[in-house]
Amino acid sequence: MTQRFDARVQTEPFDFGVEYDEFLKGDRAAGAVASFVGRVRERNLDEPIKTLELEHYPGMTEKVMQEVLLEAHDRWPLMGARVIHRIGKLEPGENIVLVLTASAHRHAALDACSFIMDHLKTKATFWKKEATPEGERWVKGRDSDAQAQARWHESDTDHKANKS
Amino acid sequence: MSIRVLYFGELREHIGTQQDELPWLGQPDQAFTVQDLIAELTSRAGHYAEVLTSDSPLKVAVNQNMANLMTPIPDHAEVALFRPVTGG
Repeated sequence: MTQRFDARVQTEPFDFGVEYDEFLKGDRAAGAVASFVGRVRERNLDEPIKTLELEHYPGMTEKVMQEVLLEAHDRWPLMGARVIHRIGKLEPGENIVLVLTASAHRHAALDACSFIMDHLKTKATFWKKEATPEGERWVKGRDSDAQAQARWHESDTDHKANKS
Repeated sequence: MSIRVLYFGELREHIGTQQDELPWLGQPDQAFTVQDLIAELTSRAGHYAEVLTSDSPLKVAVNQNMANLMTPIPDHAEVALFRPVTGG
């Protein structure tokens, strides 16, 4: 695999198998691939979900996603990383987001995959609106997502503190 | 001498428009900041004041980079206002 770090936003569904094969085409060096798929849940905050509608900020979203991939590339010896994020109206059971990371060994692939998701959650400019039987509501950002993102940077501070 | 202001998600719905064109109000010796823009919008008729001064957190990007109240807005900038992101 030539090194590749690509991010895209689309309304169409993605096919995990097709993406996986294409991502790894010709590769013989990556001994580890990690993946994450985020899906629409049929319940959220104790209410049934009819549909989940996603919107984004065209231009900025793709830029931020690419920056997150390159930040992961700086931290781990990755051969590639891919993110696909869907927008539009989705139903429970549909896929929302796919992250693939490839490295020689598993820890780099798994950690980078987790890092990318934690940063997409808090930095990529997407917004979700749920339709429930009670009506529509915008999803609120969660503190737990901010904490999940912050934990990667707490260790940065520790490293710096230890070095100095 | 103008800027474009974009609104996304809940904010767009509450303000009732996707974008506004505004004059750029900088001076040679004084920056036009995000805070100045919000003050300008808040003085408008409609739902601007109610939405922009609510307790819900307000996020800002200037030319597609995250910004804060003190960030200067250059002429011809694209400014975006929105609530915290919820992708993934």
